[in-house]
Order: sequence, then C-alpha cells, then structure tokens
Amino acid sequence: MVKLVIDAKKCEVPVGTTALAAAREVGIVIPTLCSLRALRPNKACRLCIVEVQAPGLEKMVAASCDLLVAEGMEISANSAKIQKMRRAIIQLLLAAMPDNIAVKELAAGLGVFATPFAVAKRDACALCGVCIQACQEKIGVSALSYAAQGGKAADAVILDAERCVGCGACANVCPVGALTVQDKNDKRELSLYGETANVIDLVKCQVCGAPFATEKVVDLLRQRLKKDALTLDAVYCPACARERNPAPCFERAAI
Amino acid sequence: MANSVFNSWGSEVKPLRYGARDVAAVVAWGEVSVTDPNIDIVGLCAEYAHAVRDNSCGHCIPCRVGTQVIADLLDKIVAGQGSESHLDQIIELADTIGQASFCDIGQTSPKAIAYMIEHFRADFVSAIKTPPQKGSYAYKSFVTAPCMQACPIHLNIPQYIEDIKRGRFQESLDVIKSKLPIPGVVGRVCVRPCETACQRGRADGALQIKHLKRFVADVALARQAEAKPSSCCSCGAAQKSATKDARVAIIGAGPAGVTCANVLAKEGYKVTIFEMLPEPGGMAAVGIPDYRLPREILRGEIGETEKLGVEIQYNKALGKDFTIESLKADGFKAIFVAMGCHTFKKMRVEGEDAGYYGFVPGVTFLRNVNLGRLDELPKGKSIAVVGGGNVAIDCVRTAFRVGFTDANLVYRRTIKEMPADPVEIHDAEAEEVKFHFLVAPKRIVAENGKVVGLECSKMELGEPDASGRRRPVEIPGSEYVIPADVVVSAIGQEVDTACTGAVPGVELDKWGIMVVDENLMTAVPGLFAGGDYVSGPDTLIGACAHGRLVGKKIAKYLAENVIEKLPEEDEFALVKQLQTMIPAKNGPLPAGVARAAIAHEPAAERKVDFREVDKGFTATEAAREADRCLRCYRIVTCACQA
Ligand SMILES: Cc1cc2nc3c(=O)[nH]c(=O)nc-3n(C[C@H](O)[C@H](O)[C@H](O)COP(=O)(O)OP(=O)(O)OC[C@H]3O[C@@H](n4cnc5c(N)ncnc54)[C@H](O)[C@@H]3O)c2cc1C
Ligand code: SF4
Ligand code: SF4
Ligand code: FES
Repeated sequence: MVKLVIDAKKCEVPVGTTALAAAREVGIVIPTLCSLRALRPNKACRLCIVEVQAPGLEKMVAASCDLLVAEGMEISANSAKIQKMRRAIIQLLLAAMPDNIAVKELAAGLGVFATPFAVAKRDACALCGVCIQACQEKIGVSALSYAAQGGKAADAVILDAERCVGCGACANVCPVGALTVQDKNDKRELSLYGETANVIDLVKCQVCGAPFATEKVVDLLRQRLKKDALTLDAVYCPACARERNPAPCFERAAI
Repeated sequence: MANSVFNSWGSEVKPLRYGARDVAAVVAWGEVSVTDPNIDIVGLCAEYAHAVRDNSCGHCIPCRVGTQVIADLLDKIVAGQGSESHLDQIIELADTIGQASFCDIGQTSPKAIAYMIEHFRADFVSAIKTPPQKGSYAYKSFVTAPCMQACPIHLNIPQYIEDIKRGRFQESLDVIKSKLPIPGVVGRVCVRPCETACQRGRADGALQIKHLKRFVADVALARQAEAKPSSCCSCGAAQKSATKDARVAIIGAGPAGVTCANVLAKEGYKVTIFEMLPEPGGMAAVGIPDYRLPREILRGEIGETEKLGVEIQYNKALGKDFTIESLKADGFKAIFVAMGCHTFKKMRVEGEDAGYYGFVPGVTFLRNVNLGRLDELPKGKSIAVVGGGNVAIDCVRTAFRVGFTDANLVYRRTIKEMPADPVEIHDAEAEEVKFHFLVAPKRIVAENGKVVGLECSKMELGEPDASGRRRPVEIPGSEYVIPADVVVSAIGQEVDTACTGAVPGVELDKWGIMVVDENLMTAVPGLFAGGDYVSGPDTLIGACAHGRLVGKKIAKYLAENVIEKLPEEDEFALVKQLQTMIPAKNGPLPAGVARAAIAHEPAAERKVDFREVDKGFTATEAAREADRCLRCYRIVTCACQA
C-alpha cells in the first residue's frame, strides 16, 4: 500500500494505482475526457492535470490518469492554478469544436461558456484517440488510426473498412459522439463524422432469429476460441446462449 | 533586433554552423541562442511557432490547438495586424501548453516562444506598430530526439515506437526500413546507443528500443509465413530489375555493403556485390554466433535486398579475383569498398607465432564455427579466451556450444572497464563462464607442439591512460598457469590492407587504409569506402549508417555529378554542436511502469546448442513497453545567413 495526500485528504491505495483513481477513492472529482477504466491511460485531453509534489522531486504538473502514486506524494487536484489551466484547455477545445454538445457540456461543468481563442481549422472530433486505443487494445484489430501519424498533427481519425470487424466498441467509447453505430435491415452501419464509414452484414441467432453480431465478429471469436468446440459451429445470440447454458461462463471455463 | 549575443542557457555562446553556413540564431529545446546581434527576433519566433504547430502530433488538446492559436497570433503580428494584448495571451497560453502537455514538443517548445516575447518585447511592440522588413535569413526547421541523435543512422525512434503503441506494426516497420534494410538483425544485436541516451532512463529504465525493433520485424515474418505457409522467403515476390544504366560495384556483403546496395537498388541502379566468402552478412554472419542472431533472419533480410535486383557474387576476393582498376575497366561507374576488419591483432606473447596446435585467433575460431567447419577447430575440453570485448564473450560462450566444458575468459582490467555489453557479460556469467579479471597473458604453454595452458600474471590498476581507463600494471612474480587445451586471442581486429595494394590516385594512411574525406569518398571521384574498413572494428548500425550515406551519395553523384552532404547530416551536426552549449539534464523523473524484462532460454539448457537465447515480445508486451516512450522530440529552427 502507498500513503499519499490529495487536497489535504489522506489516502492509502495499492501500489500501481493512478492518482486519478486514488482521488476518486476519496471522493475528489477530477474532470476527464479521455480516461476509461477499461483502457490504459490515453493521455490526450490533459483535463485531468494536477499539481504533484513527490518526495525528492520538483513540484510539477502531470496528467493524473497517467501518474502512478508514490509514497509521500502530495497532490493538489483543484488548485487555482490547475483550474485556470483546465479552463484554458477546454476553451481551446471549444474553439476547435464549438458546436459539439458533449464538449459544451464539459465546458459548462468547468464554468466555461465561451472561448477567447480563434482557430482557422475546425476539428471534427477531439482527436483523443480513445477509439483507436479500444480497437487496438481491447479488440486487437487496429482498424482505426490518425490520418496523420507523428510528423504532422493529426486532424482526423480514419477507419480501414477492410480491417474493421464492426464490433462497435469505438462508438461506445467515443466521448464526443463522433463515431456512431446503428443496426438496420440486417446490416450494421458505422458512421464516422456523420458519414457512413462501413456497412457489414449481421448474422442471425440460430434459435430466436434476431440479428445480433456481424459475421466478421463471429469469425474473429471463432478464431480466438479455436479450442472451444462449443462455439465452433453454433451461432447463438447472448440471450439464447445464456438460456441454453445458464452456468456463468467462469464456471463453464472451469469444466 | 536582438542587439546582443546570448543564449538562454546562460552558457558560453559558441559560433554554430549549419553545413557550410553560419548560423545567426537557433531555437531548440525550448531555448534560444543568438550569435548575430542583428537577427530579426520576431521573424524567428514566428518561424519557430510554425514549426511547432506543424510538428505537434495532435494528440494532446493544449498542444494541438494551442500551438495553432499561437502561430496564428504571431502571423498577425508579423503582418502588422496584431495588438499588445496578443503578446500576453501568447505568454499565458505557452505556459499552459508547456505544463499540461504530454511530450517534449508541447512541454519545451512554447517556453522558447514566451522567452523571446518576454526578453524582446520592444521588438514585438514595434513590429505591431510597423511591420518589420523581412530579414535576409534562410530558416531551417527539423526535429530530433535524444535517441534519434544517438542512433548512428538516426532512425525516427519515437515514431516507430508510437506506431507500435497504436498497433500499427507494419507502419512501424516501414519507418525503420526507410533507412535500415536489416531490422530483424539490428533488432537483435545492436549495441543500442539510443537506449543509453533514452530519457526514460532518468525515471525507471530506458525503453527496450532494440527489442521493439525486433518485435515489428518478427511480426512481419510471422505474417509472411502465415500468408504462404509452405514457401521459403526467397521464392516469393518477383525479382525487380534496374531502371538506370550506371552500374555500381560493392566490395563486401557485410552490413555496410548490403545497406548501400539496398539504397542504390531502390534508386534504380544495377548493383553487384563481390564477396570473398560463400555467405553474406560479413561479421554478422561469420562473427556473431547464431544463438544471438539466427542465420535465417540474416539471410532472409539480405535476401530482400537481393530481390530488389542486387547481385551478390560469392567467393570473389579483391586482390585475388579482381582489383579496383579491373572493376573500373569493367565499366563500373562507382565503387564502394566495405570489406570490414577481418584480420586479428596480435597479443605479442611468447608462443603466439610458434604454430602450436590449440592456439587460434578469435575471429578464425568464430568463422569456422559459423561456416560449419567444425573439424577445423582444435579439439579439447578446456579453453582460455583473452580479451574483454564482445568478440571475446562470443568466443567463450560459443566454446560451450561446440563441446568445451571449461570456459575461461582472461581480461587485464576489471569488469567495470570491460568494453563488452553488460547484458552479454551477464549472460556469460549465467552460463558459468569463469572470469579471470586483472590478469594478462604472458606465454602460451605447450607440450610437444600442443597447447596445454596459458601463463598469466596478475595485474593491478595504475594511472588512467589516454582512454580514461586505469592502466593495468603487472605485479612482479605473480605468474600462474591456467590449464587449457585451446587458447584464443580476441583482443581486436584489423583491416587486411594487403588485398587493396596501391590504387592509383588514392592516398593510403600509415596502416595502408585508403583515406576518405567527410563524404566517405577517396581522392578518386566515385571511389568510396566505409563501414569497419574505415572506422575500425565498430558496430553493425555504424556500418549500416555508412552504407546508407554512401548509397545516397553515389546516387546523387551518378545522376548529377555532385558530391554533397545530406540535409540530415547538417541537421544532426548542428545538434551535436548545440549539445556542447546545453547543460545536461540528469535529474530524476517520477517513476512509473518499469522497463520490460526480456525472457531467455534457461542457461543450462541453451548453452549446449545454438538456439536463440533471447525471446521476443508478445504484442501486448510490446504495446505496453511502447507506451512508456516519452516522445522526447525537440524542434529546432535555425536562421542561417543567406
Ligand atoms: C565476433 C563479433 C561480434 C560482434 N558483435 C556485434 C554486436 O553484437 N553488435 C554490433 O553492433 N556489432 C557487433 N560486431 C561488429 C559488427 O559485426 C561489425 O561492426 C560490422 O559487421 C561491420 O560491417 P562492415 O560491413 O563494415 O564489415 P563486415 O561485416 O566485416 O563485412 C565485410 C565483408 O567484406 C568481405 N571481404 C573482406 N575482404 C574482402 C575482399 N578482399 N574481397 C571481397 N570481400 C571481402 C568479408 O568477407 C565480409 O563479408 C561484432 C563483430 C564481431 C567480430
Ligand atoms: S504528444 Fe507531444 S506533440 Fe503530441 S500533442 Fe502531446 S505534447 Fe504535442
Ligand atoms: S523516451 Fe522515447 S523519445 Fe524519449 S529518448 Fe526514450 S525512446 Fe526516445
Ligand atoms: S483523462 Fe488524463 S489526459 Fe485525458
């Protein structure tokens, strides 16, 4: 366990905890846009910055989602300086995407309703890359990427429809609604920035006949579960699968 | 106007050169250095702000949007449409970007902009009132990073790591291959100057840069194997053929020669490599043992260069089968001499020249093992290897793998002074090599013409020598004998100069090596030399860097009859000069996820055969390690006198 102080509150958390998680533990709110519990820190929005004083190191500003706690750390999560910087950051984002509802809400939460900044180029999304990360880290597909890597500033996210399996994970994690997924007429449609980016056929459950996942997702699962004969030929939707074999999957795994 | 000569580090201002030009001012590392007091600071600042905006990767919101805002405001000021309140807005924004961003681009660059405005506010104010005349400076902007700078071939390391982080493995490999045709080889045996420079070393251990390189090379191999399971790598894609008439000859199929051939073949030239051995790869094949670098990896990657249309003629030795003059007569328009260092240095001890059975130079020992000529090795159970470098370690560890059971390494200084890679030393210890430190060989002991041991004397460390290492001094009367059936000398290699002989028009140095200029060209136009042949026993990546430079230069020479430095040479040279002004940052950084450990084959099992010792990363391990990169990119903008 590691002992530290956040905004004068003492807390004790396991080694390897991030400052963001530790703050939440003791009820301190830190705004975030790109942090998701299921993913490694994405470090893009920088709204979660805090001031940190670690023993033996200079006081510095760091993103709390990416900062591992250490014994004796002192963190100011909401100092005047930090709040001012957060406002500047959200003002910048607001300048880049002035009409986005999610961004406006987040800004309002920080007391920001207008921006003093002007940029020539509007951004279609926050470019935080959470979708890219979910696709790579959790799905293992890597169908999404920034339009420009490294060298030049990213100005959009692009989808490689060939690689995409249509799982919809990206749409579920996007914090600004730039990616959406919709099932209609036995097809799954993925839109990026309001334009159709991919259309994939859905497969139907052998029991109830409801379309529930794309063929590519089922193929991917088959590949991953090669050894599990149960899943090889049958195609059941989650509800029917549960009905047929009500034991929780961890029990089944133990058989 | 700066009106003074200064730098913001507060260190001594040194004159700087960008290629042949004098540098008037340079902005780098978030700092400013001015050598020409007349420099137009406002123009320089705007130019730098553009470079920062253009190089922001766009991931962090404050950096991506904030640097755009700053560049736009400065453009307004330069165009005479600014106001003084803009200056304060920039300073405040620069502070937020600098503190809140993730990497060095966001953290350091805005600082320089704020610094210039704060220290030369009068210039900015007067620019706002009357737009300044455009100065007569030529601006150059580029990026570097500590790891990139340290890498002899200057791979864009943060970029290829970033691609791994994002799961774009092929793109990552493409970044590496744009400069280095043998990523799987270098990803296994590079000496890693980049990791020594890595800034994460200040926190919780340098990135595993070498292993990440190997990872993307391995992924590509695995995908190839999946795509065509039964075919070998050499029968896949069709051979390409040359599109240009001029033919180039390269002597030596080592890393330098192969890299040069790769560059030229991609440019469309017809390249022929003349190699004295029956095997490609140079010291990577006949020096480095297979347990560190599996031969099929080396052959596969050189095979890719052959597929570009490069022809390798084996068993063709310079000085025996052809000469430099004969190549010219055969119509080769440019020649690259890359034949490495293949003879050995003498220990100068008694018995070395007596022709004893059981005495063998290290490079010969390794060559025979590596070419499968095991019956040419002297037989025995115990071996004593003299030397403290990687070659010596390769010899002792190889000895176990060809049947020796008692392997000794004799080195005249201590483990601290050993030039060998610490990882190698550790691996040798794990395999139970016996180390004899502070011991120097005196005499090879033989009975009936056959080696039975090595007589050594003990040493102690005296005063430091020219290399800064303390010089070992013999302790009189401390002689003793290490019993050994075989004695190996591995204290260094030298260039075999006999095979070149005299080449008309080429100057030879006192050892008989051809003298080259800063472009690696001899006094004869079109005749180049590089790799170990020029630098002495060095490294794979150093040889590849030479090969690449020479390749680019030959292409330019053949197309335009011009020999000149590449822009990147001037860039990295400028940074090198700058580094002498910059106070080193060595303070610790907060620690986080530690450097990934590398899995090995167990020592007792691996030491009896040539299986590869190090295991590669899995995709998850690689992405996790890549995620540790701090992206220490620095943007440099310099103003040169026009
Ligand atoms: C045992 C050993 C271990 C090493 N380990 C490492 C390591 O782990 N990491 C690292 O970075 N570096 C290592 N090195 C150094 C590295 O191998 C060399 O620096 C590198 O191979 C030099 O490349 P090169 O192309 O200049 O020369 P070489 O690799 O020496 O290639 C020269 C080629 O020219 C050929 N040749 C020579 N003479 C003639 C002739 N007369 N006619 C025609 N062809 C000729 C040779 O047969 C050879 O193929 C090691 C070296 C040795 C000896
Ligand atoms: S990672 Fe670096 S270059 Fe990219 S946006 Fe953040 S600070 Fe800028
Ligand atoms: S942390 Fe990344 S960018 Fe920085 S020196 Fe290390 S490898 Fe290079
Ligand atoms: S939540 Fe930490 S950078 Fe976005």
